[in-house]
Amino acid sequence: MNYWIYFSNYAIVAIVFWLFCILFQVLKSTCHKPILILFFAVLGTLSVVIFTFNLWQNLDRPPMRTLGETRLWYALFLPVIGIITYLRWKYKWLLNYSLAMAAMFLIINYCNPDTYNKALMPALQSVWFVPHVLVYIFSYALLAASSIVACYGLFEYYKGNYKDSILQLANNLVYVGFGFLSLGLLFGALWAKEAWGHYWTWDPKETWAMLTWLGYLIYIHMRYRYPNSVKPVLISLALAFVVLLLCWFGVNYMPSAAQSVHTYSNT
Amino acid sequence: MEIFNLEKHKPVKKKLWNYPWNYKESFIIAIGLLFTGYLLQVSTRTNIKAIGAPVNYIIGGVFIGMLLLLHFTSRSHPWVKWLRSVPASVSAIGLVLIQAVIMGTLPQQNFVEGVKPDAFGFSFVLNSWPFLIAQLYFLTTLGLATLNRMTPWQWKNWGFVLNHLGLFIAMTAGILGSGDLKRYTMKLYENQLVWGAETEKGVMIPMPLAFELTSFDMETFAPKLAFADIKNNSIETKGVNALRMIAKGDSYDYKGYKIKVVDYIENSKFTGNGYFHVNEEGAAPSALIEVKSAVIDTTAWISCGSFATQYSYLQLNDKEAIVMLQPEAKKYSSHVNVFVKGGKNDKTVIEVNKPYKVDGWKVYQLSYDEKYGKWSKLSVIELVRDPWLPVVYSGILMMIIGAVYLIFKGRGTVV
Repeated sequence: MNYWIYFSNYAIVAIVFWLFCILFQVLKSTCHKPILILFFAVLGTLSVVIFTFNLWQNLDRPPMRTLGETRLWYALFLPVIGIITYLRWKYKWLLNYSLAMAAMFLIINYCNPDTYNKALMPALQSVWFVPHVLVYIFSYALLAASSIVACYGLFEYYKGNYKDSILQLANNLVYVGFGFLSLGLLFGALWAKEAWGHYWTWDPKETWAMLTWLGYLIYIHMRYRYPNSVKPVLISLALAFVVLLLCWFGVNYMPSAAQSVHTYSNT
Repeated sequence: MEIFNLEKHKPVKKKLWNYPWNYKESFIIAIGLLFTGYLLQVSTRTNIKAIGAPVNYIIGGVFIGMLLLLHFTSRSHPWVKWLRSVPASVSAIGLVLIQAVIMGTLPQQNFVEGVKPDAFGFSFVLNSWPFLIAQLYFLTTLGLATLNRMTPWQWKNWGFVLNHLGLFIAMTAGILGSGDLKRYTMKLYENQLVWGAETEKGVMIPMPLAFELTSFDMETFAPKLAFADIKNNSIETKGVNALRMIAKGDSYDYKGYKIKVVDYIENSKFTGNGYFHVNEEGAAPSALIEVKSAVIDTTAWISCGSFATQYSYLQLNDKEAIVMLQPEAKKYSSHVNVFVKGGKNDKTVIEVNKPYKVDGWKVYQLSYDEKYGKWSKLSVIELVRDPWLPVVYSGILMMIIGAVYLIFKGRGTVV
């Protein structure tokens, strides 16, 4: 059975619940009831979780191979991060942003449906497959959130009502995201050694993964050195996300891509 | 609620090149290094080769000795202070970043005889001067910053040290070790004892080990149905039901066609009027499919064929056809006898992701004769010897622990 045919049902359910979540923030009678807001955010996310779980069961392999499958994980992790940051720091805008981004990824997947493919090439049949991809996508989601915080911070900065707490939030997200990004990179190196005999081959995807890592490394160091400087670190954080996007999607379109064994397949 | 105050953050005015050096000086020096690198590259036109033992040990020793000397004799010299500072490291990261952007964007060539390398080394960044200098600068700032936090030892610095020392060890050992890395391939044909291996340049060399392939095994996934564009000779891959794996009894809709897999034979051959199950070499999968639409209602055999049997597809109109794609490999492995010169003999299975270790070598399943697929009589294995691997791995392990530290520290890190 091809489980992707049920995707639209789950996606619609998720998006409707998330719309409710946003609606209850606007309505005067409910905007001070975080439980209600959280409830619908969680329900929508559960819909994506259930679909992903069932897809995994039906594919007989981890659904982490195609671009559509990675988008699905993104649509799962982003709201989770939004909900956690809302619980912890009460950022409504970040919760809404993560829900909107997740909805966008669900819509992209609906417009470019993934094909039904159980095949998993032998090199991917490794104990490292699931940890490598999961920590990577989770870190992408965290770092995406951090860069959005940076853009928001820049916006507030130019409006003249920047608050230190914005950069604190970005920093918290970057540290955790960077830790996961490093783990993804290192797990990938260990896996590659088992599969091909070399932990680092400078494949274009690997090179861009390192670039992403270096980008956030610059942010961390700048922030560490001048904890009070604002504009340069916000700009560096926003730029690091551009590198991340190039690494995730952009590599496929670069002149070097022809040499890559690492591009996501579309099938 | 603290409103941000612009005045507070204005840096104190300082003349350029007055100590302590800051971002401006760091970036000027980094640009100078970049310029020097390209000048060296353009004037020498070299393609720097990795250096093997014992020279790499000497270079490594000299480099680390130099860092230790700088640290322990001139720890408070303004240059040493600057070299381990954040501005220097940020400029060093930037320098490596520039090289990596070029490497990740432009195609990198593995040099073939007769192809003229470009003057700036853009097509062989890894072996060019600018990259070498960027790495050297990076490792110098990293090494000095690490030493500074390690001496005197304080337990509160363990996370910092794991991350920085780990990266220093992994990178230094990776760069120096690449000269000692040996990577050979061996072509194994069934029941032939092979002692010689081929280098990356295709030179045959004798080996202290031999392999004899007793059998090559391959499992495949079920093949997939695809819509092919006859005019462009391309396969359509759009939609949830595109490229669906063939299973007997499966029925579904795709682009207005109702498709049903009436029968599926994994091992078959074509004889006269259809495909029949056989148990012999070169047998190919085939399927009897029923296709219905407003204009078509037909049943036909399709097969991806093999070197021994016919390939068939179902033409729908003058533009489209339904074809069966070659099945994809699920698992392939070589059953081999291993002979070690003056050592023990062994019998083993080498599989993708499950390399076999013998006598300091790791043996990988690399490829097979693709034309024959699961009927291949050839298996290509790869032998890799990487004496620096334990050192690189110790660096990687430190970084893994360091990354976990970052994740847990994360929240409280507002300095």
